[in-house]
Amino acid sequence: MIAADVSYLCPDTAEEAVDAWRRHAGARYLAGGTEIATAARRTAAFDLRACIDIKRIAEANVHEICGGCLRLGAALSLSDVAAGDAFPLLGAVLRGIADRTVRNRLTLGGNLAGLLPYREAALPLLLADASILTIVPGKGEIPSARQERPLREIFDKRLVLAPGELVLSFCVPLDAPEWPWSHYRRTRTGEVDYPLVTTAMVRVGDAIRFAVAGAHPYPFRSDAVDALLTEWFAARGTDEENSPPSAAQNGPDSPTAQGRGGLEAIIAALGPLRADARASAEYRVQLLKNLIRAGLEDLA
Amino acid sequence: MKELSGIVEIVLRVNGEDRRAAVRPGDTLLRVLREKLGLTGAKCGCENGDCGACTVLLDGKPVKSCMVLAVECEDAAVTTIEGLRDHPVQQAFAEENGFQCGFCTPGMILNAAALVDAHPEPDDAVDREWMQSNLCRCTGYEGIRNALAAARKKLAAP
Ligand SMILES: Cc1cc2nc3c(=O)[nH]c(=O)nc-3n(C[C@H](O)[C@H](O)[C@H](O)COP(=O)(O)OP(=O)(O)OC[C@H]3O[C@@H](n4cnc5c(N)ncnc54)[C@H](O)[C@@H]3O)c2cc1C
Ligand code: FES
Ligand code: FES
Repeated sequence: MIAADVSYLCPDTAEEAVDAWRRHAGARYLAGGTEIATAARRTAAFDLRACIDIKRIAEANVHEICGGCLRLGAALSLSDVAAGDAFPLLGAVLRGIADRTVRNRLTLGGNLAGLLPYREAALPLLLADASILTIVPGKGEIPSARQERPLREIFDKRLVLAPGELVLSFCVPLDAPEWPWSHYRRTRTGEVDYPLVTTAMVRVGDAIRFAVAGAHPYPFRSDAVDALLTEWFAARGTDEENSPPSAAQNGPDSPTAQGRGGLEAIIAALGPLRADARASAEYRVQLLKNLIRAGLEDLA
Repeated sequence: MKELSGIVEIVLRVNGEDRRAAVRPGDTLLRVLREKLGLTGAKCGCENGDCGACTVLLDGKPVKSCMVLAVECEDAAVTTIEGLRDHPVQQAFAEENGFQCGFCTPGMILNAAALVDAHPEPDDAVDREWMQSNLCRCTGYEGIRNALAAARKKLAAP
């Protein structure tokens, strides 16, 4: 129940949606509504005067391979994207988010654009170097305009969108679903809980890419960490024939088995980790060490 | 483009019947079902998406009605527990003691009904994934698990 008196608008096209946003102060796009309905009920500071329902916009519901990429509409529910199974790592990550019934409503675009710090669906999309298609409302005589950009260009801890900018879809290069991948999700309680950490890793040739949610107050991917992991992964054969870094190895953090920096350097490159009621930063460091090792073993 | 504000009359297709209600666009489906249509089967637990007591079916899929606006549902078929009439899943819950206080039961049964419909064959991983959406504070889940198995048997029987 949203206490404020809100208007409800249900556009059929992206242009109508951004136009509605221009005409209605305090409007927000309504996708799965799982955040809007709960935040607007609980939080007086959540300014909401109009909901612009984007679920009827055909462009935001695409789920197809076209033009050399897999295009996923922002308004698709997580259940629908996961059921499509066109990008196995994305499917695995989505199946960890919330619970099955919530995923029947929660959308791909909503997960990335929402307020909560986890935004786990961002991990596979960041690793795949996906692009994002948005539409920006016009100003005065200037009409609205679509923009397709690399997701990493506008994802700085969160999606950095212009006022009223609407996400329409994500485009995943077709080779990304073929890369070897690994995914781990650890929670404090049962499977249905926010993650302490969720890791996702892919191997592109000899290069390792790594992204993590829950460890920081935002999803994280960095070229520096990828480079250190790649180096550490490449060094795995120098001490023990072809063996990946493994928890079972005696001292995989030791300089000889590490490439230049090793696991400690990788952890340091992640920066300060989050400490909250669920887990201390030290606990998250240990979890990450284990999961990074396990992930690299999966990819070896 | 559909535009609604103030108090509006909407028509919802609930349990196969067209039902009219005067609502505010900010009213959730849960509140409208309970407070405008007198369908109190869906329960108001957390209103936060966590407990599943408010679960109803929207076009056959389980959703948490505390997070859906009623105005979003005008073109959809809503099924509440009142719409299941002696369904095999209901019988199985009664026979297998799949409930105690009964607060979680309408949501549990609707989710289970959608589950056995989508997956007639038992699969522990799938059952777990679906049923984790609903919390029960009484049964310890054993009776619910047994009820799922019993419902599948009933549905498979010629
Ligand atoms: C019970 C529950 C459990 C959860 N568990 C997890 C979890 O385990 N992991 C996790 O990562 N997250 C989790 N979340 C958080 C959830 O992913 C976010 O709240 C997300 O924003 C909800 O998506 P939605 O489609 O329902 O968004 P909505 O509520 O519709 O919208 C959320 C925000 O995003 C904006 N928005 C939505 N779509 C677009 C778009 N296409 N373009 C621009 N802006 C847009 C809206 O205007 C609004 O401000 C959980 C949420 C709930 C309610
Ligand atoms: S009342 Fe809807 S999930 Fe608890
Ligand atoms: S029977 Fe009491 S909460 Fe489930």
